[in-house]
Amino acid sequence: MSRLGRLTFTRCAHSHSIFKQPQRYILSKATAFKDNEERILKIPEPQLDINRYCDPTLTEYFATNIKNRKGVGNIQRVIELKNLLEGGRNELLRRELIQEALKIPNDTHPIPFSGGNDTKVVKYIGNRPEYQFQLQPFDKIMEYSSQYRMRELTPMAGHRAYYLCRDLADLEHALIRYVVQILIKKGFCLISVPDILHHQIIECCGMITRGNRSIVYRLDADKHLASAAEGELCLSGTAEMALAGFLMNRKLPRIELPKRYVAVSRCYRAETADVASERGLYRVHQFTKVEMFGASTPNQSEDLLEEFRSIQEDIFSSFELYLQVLDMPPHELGAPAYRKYDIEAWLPSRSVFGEVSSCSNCTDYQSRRLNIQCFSENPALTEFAHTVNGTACAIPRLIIAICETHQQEDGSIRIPQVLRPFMGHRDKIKPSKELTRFQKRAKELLRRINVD
Amino acid sequence: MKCLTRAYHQIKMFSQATKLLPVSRCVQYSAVERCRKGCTSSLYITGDKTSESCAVLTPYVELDARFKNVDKLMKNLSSRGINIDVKQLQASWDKFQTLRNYKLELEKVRLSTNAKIKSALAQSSRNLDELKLEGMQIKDKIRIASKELWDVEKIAVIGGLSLPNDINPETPDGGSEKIVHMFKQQPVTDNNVPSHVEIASRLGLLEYYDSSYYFLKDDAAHFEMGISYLFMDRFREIGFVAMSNSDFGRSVVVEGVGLDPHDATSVFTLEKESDLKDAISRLHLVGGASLVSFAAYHTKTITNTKNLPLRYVTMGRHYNPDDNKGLHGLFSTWQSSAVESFVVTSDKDRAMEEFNSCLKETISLYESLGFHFRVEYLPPKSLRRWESLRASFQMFSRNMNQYVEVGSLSLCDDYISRRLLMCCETPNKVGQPLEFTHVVSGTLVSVPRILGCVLEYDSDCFKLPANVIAAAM
Repeated sequence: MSRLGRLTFTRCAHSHSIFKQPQRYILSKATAFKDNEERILKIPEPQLDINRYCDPTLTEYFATNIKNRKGVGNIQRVIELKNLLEGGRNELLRRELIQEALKIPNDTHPIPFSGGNDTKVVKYIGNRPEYQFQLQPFDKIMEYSSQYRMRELTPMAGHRAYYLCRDLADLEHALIRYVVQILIKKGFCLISVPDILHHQIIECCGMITRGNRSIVYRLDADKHLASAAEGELCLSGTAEMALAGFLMNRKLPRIELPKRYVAVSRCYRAETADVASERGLYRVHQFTKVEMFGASTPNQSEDLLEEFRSIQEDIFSSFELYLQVLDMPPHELGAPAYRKYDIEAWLPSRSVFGEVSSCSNCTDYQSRRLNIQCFSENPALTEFAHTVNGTACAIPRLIIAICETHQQEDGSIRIPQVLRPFMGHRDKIKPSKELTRFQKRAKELLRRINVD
Repeated sequence: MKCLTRAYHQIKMFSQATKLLPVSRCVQYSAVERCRKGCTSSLYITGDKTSESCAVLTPYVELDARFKNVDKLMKNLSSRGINIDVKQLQASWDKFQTLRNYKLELEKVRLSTNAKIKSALAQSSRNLDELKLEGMQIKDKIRIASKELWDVEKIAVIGGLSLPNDINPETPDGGSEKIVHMFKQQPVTDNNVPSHVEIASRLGLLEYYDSSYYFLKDDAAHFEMGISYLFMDRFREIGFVAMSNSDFGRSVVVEGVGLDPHDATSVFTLEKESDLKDAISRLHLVGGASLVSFAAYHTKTITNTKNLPLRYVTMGRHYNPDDNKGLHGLFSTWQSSAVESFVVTSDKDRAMEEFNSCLKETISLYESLGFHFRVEYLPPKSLRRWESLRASFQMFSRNMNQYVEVGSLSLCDDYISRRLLMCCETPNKVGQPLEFTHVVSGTLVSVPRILGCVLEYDSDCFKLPANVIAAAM
């Protein structure tokens, strides 16, 4: 079977090698249960609004938008290609047009669009905490404790690996259970999602999976083959990707919208930052996250974004943190985002705010690429759905913020009231001395081994 | 700037449909073949590879004890169905020992010669040239001996590392399983029982595309979370401590526990990091709820015996590309949620005690769910390399008319500890010698598998057990 797959691969790769295009893929089953056509996942063709891109009255808007965002995309080239195509059918040009059009970022909400490059603080929540003693950063509080280990793990578990143990692992679970419970009460549907995704699903969400700027981990394509063609398997960077994949090719009834989903998943990010301030647990390659994801009609998405933001504010403020809510400027928006709010928590040891979550309205950027539509009895009202996503709880950053904010003079950490029921009603975490000592020199160990 | 409803025109841009077939490609070599190919252990860096690879540790390989009872070893290998030429391995090991001692002797001579040269230089003695010549000859001898040593090392040490663990007397002799516990009657089945994939899809609980890509919805997702927390909470109550582990492990640890890091059907390998020159050390996706992840934490560590046993429990992901011999649907998923335990003890007897108490606790937990299950001790041919005894928790698939393993508990003795140097010390002993720890490891529950069986027990509805609902909240 795999031999056959290989042959197909060679042939396909050859016929498409002239243009590096995404192709139409049909994802079939690894170990197929039954050959059931319905259950074959079809990654759709992107359905971009090329005519709008080429509307002469909007050209200036697009050009400014691209410039204000990250500068990726070329609207002139899109128009040029479209005009060239008017002359007659040319497959090569048509594909190039799609490629260029896929690079155009989403529109920007009028407020950040006109707001310039400065990040606007929407509001502050809580009070800036004051301390009468010398503050410690998280990694210092937990250093050599049996609750946390990040030292000397690279040779065994990879770069920036970490383990949360005992009370800190309990804190992680308390956070997850508390947050999921809140969201379920608010009517979110719990979904369990895959972490290994086909690269095209990730690309449809607006993330690149190749090149220097990519932060996506890929599985070794020589060992784990996603496809007989160019498909490769990647690790999901956020449950947003899998949830968007879940809605792919769906026609959602208008009356059921907005739909709200929650997923708890592991996130994998290959990003590297060796800035001193981002050492330790602040920037890691893998973590657990509770993600909110919404699908709505076009005129609901702005309200849904505000709803997600207010849920986030409620959750984080219940941990008694000092927070600021930011309306992000255009150059901070990823290609899919129309508007994005970041919530940052105060890290007292460094006297700075650090990002703990964000939520974005992606309007129809993802749904045009993943074919997510909303429909009603009137077929004229069938249109692309809007997608909204937000972090409900990203474990490592939240743990840092909680531990730093609630540290006590004796080195212990006060557990926020709302989390105590999930931690056996304990009220504090006291770092204890580590029980298992790492020995860097293996030879030293071998020398002391008792052979009998 | 709201997006207006626009008549979008759809562009037919792709003409060719290509079927995607997620398959694992694998090439399996026997230990001997691998030695001939000139490779490669990620765990033991042979002398000729030291310039290319950085050795994280040297595993403790001591085969003399195992060769004391060659018959037992051969019986072990044949009952597990492992093909290793013990006689050849023994010969290589003896040769390796001899050569190693010979090289050590030469090193001594070299040192004394160097000292002689030094003093001769100081006294401007006449036999300086003679001594220099002698020194060079010894260097040559060492070089030749080293090369020979490396060649033998490849077969002796890497061959030695491929030997499996001993077999515990509790493991049933002969080829068949031994049932040690049974709860309720095996459900009746006929040919018409639909598979759990059909049942769950009909009930709107599952979207299953293939073993790499599936979604659990509503009650199924609640079941996943509830049962994981039910197991976590119970084990926390009886003194286990929670861990939240790393999902990645390097080749050295993967091989350290006894898996083959080159085999695409036993472990996921990530794409090569571009800045990493070391080809032997790769990064693998194993999941936090896995033996590898716990082993990575304990590699090259010393624990005071007064702190033992260390009892850990974690819940999280488990990634396994194995296609599981004909199992389908939720029984053979690449990704599963699981609750995994790991117990570190100081010696064999304590490990057995921990194994038994853990077994008892797990049985009572499964009974509290109210579904039929049985516990078996598996025969040697079903044991993994690192296991000396494996208790398998099994539930019945009415659709497939066979039992499916939903959890397991294994006795690993000091097999992994010797390879990854997981040690313990008793400080008041003279000289503070280190001993290897004994490990008990188990996947207490694999969520997709138990979900599959529960769905097939009652094909008309899916009702969460009360304690699972309670734990989910």
